[in-house]
Parts: sequence; C-alpha cells; structure tokens
Amino acid sequence: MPRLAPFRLGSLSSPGLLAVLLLTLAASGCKSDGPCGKGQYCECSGGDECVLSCGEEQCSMGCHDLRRCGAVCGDDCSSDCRKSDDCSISCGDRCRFTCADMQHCAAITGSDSDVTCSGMNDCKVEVGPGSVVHCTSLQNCTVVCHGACQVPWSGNSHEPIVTCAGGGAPLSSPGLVTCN
Amino acid sequence: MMRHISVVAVAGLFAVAVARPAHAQSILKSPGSGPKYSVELEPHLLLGPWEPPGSGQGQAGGYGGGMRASIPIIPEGFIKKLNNSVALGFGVDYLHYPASNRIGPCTRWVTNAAGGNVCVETWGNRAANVFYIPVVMQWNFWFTKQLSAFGEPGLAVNYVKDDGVGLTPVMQVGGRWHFAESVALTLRLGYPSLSLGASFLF
Repeated sequence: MPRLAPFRLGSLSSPGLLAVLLLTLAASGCKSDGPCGKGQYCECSGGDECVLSCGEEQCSMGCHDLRRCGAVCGDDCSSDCRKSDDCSISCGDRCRFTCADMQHCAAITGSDSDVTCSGMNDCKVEVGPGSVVHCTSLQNCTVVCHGACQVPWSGNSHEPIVTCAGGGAPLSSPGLVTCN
Repeated sequence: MMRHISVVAVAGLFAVAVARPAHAQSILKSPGSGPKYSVELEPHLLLGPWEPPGSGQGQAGGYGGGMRASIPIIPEGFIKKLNNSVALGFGVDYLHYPASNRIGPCTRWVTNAAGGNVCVETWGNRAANVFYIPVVMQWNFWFTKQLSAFGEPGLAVNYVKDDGVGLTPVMQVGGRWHFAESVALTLRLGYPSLSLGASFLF
C-alpha cells in the first residue's frame, strides 16, 4: 500500500518538523561534542537514549550516564560505553567495543573485532571470525562466534556460554573458551 | 554546502544565458506561436537538496540523473490570450542520498544470535538510493523564441531500497533556453529535486 511521504521543504515541513521534534524530545539530554566523522571522536552523555552513528566512515564513539546508548558504524570503528543501563554496538570488521559498569551489553560485530565486557549483569555478543571477547566480572556472558574466536574470562559468576555458529563444540580451558 | 553553491551557480549561469535574448521579440501574447512538437525528451542531471522520502535513510544532498518525457495535451493552454500550453510529463529519476553522521535515538532494534538487543539503525545513518517515477502536469509559457518557462505540479511514485514504495508530491518550476530550433537547456527547481538537462523537441 503506497503511503504519502511527508513533504519536507528545506529539511523540515510540518510533518517532518513534528517528527524531528518528537525525535528530539525522545533524545533529550543526548549531547555530543561535535560531528561524528572519520577519524573523529564523538561522545554522548546524559538523558534517556542516545545512539551515535557514523555512516560508513571510521570513527570513535563513547557514551556514558544514559539509560540506553549505542553505536552504529562500519569497519574500523570503536565505541566505549560506561555507567549506563544498556549499551549496544552494530559494527563492521575490526571494530573495538568496550562495555563497563553496565546492566546489559550487546553487540553484533564483523570479523577480527575486539569486545570487552566487564562489571555487569549480561553481555550478549555475536562476533565474526577472528574476534576476541573479553568477559570479566560478569553475571552472564553469552557469545556466538561465526568462525574462530577466543573468549578469555575471569571473575565471572559462570563460565561464558559460547556457541560456535559454524559447527563444532567450543573448547574450554581455565579462563578461556574458544571456537576453532 | 558545495552542492548548494553549485545549484546557485548553475541557476545564475542559466539566468545570464536566458537574459541575453531577453530583448528578443515577445511571443507571449501570440497564442499558438510556440514550438510545434509531439514529444519533449529531456535527459537531465539531478540534485536532491531535500531529505529523501522514507523512514530516515540518507540525508539531504542527493545526486543522480534521469529522463523526462512530456507530451502536449492542450496546445492552446488554459489562458486563451497567452501563448501557453499544457503537457503531460512523466519519467524516471534516480538519486543517491549519502549516509549521515547522526546522533539520536535508535530507529531499528534487532535481537542478535546471543539474545541481546542491538540497535542497527539510527535516523539517516544509511545511504539511500531512491527511484522516482514522476507524473506531472507541465504548464508552459512561451515568452520568446528563445525563452520559455513552466510549472510542474504532480506526484511521483518513489521506491527506496530496503524501505519500499511511497508517494511524493512534485512541485517544480523551470525554464528553457532554446539555443537551437529544437534543442533547449532546461533548468528545473523545486521539490523533490533540482535538474539541469537538455530538451529535445520532436
């Protein structure tokens, strides 16, 4: 069923303006120090929900003191989440994600990525081949690896639950779970 | 920003071009003395200074190309005392709108294979590729042998990859510089895009 797209003169007209106002209200308190572009660091803090994105460019992002925060980015980006309830990242290859002092963290990453979860209830990540997921001082750490991966862990309530999505059982040794 | 400057520059060049024959003899009050043609074909380049349709993909600043065909349906136009005509215009346009670097709320969450909720899309963070199929009423005014202008209200069906089909209003005005008998430089301004092309009258 076709729908009528809002008529946006400039970038704003009445329906567009209303949508932007609603989004602005929803993101109230979401602040960044500057544009989030290639090679730049941008940060989000305070408020209810804030997600940083940098399109297809490499960038470095961080957020803290939010109920929910996150990042959406391509290859070679990094994100650092601290002191919030929930944080997530969706990124391409070779991305770095650090999540600390949170309630919940989740991620979908490409290959050769590096994820660190520490000091939280749940860390639930899905990573590409060649990735490393560090689980430290967690209640639960759940990892799905597409291909080979390493999950070093310490100080957790339970051993990480690792699923090797390519088939085969994960190999456990003291402080380390791997998929080959 | 550069694209906006480019649009202004192109508009300025066009204004200079059409100003040169402005002293030419007016045919506006000579109904029926405009060019006789069965169809106007106009390939053109496009700029999309407005945000694309759909649920938040891309950002203002699109670019692309397209083709418009216009067939005269009321040769004497709506105003009998003026040299005007009405054509039915239709065509296809393609615009690529680049991704933006945004900060804001998430627009799409998914559950990953480990059971965690992950935001995978924010407002405007993906590039958009948009096809428009416009259908417009082209109301022409023939001022001189070298200069004509038109208004084009209408609708366009738009298709945004990964977002589906929608309808977009079309509201454009334009001008032609007829530098040869059956060929003109055509500039079109308005929503959803700006165009610069060549009109071939057959």
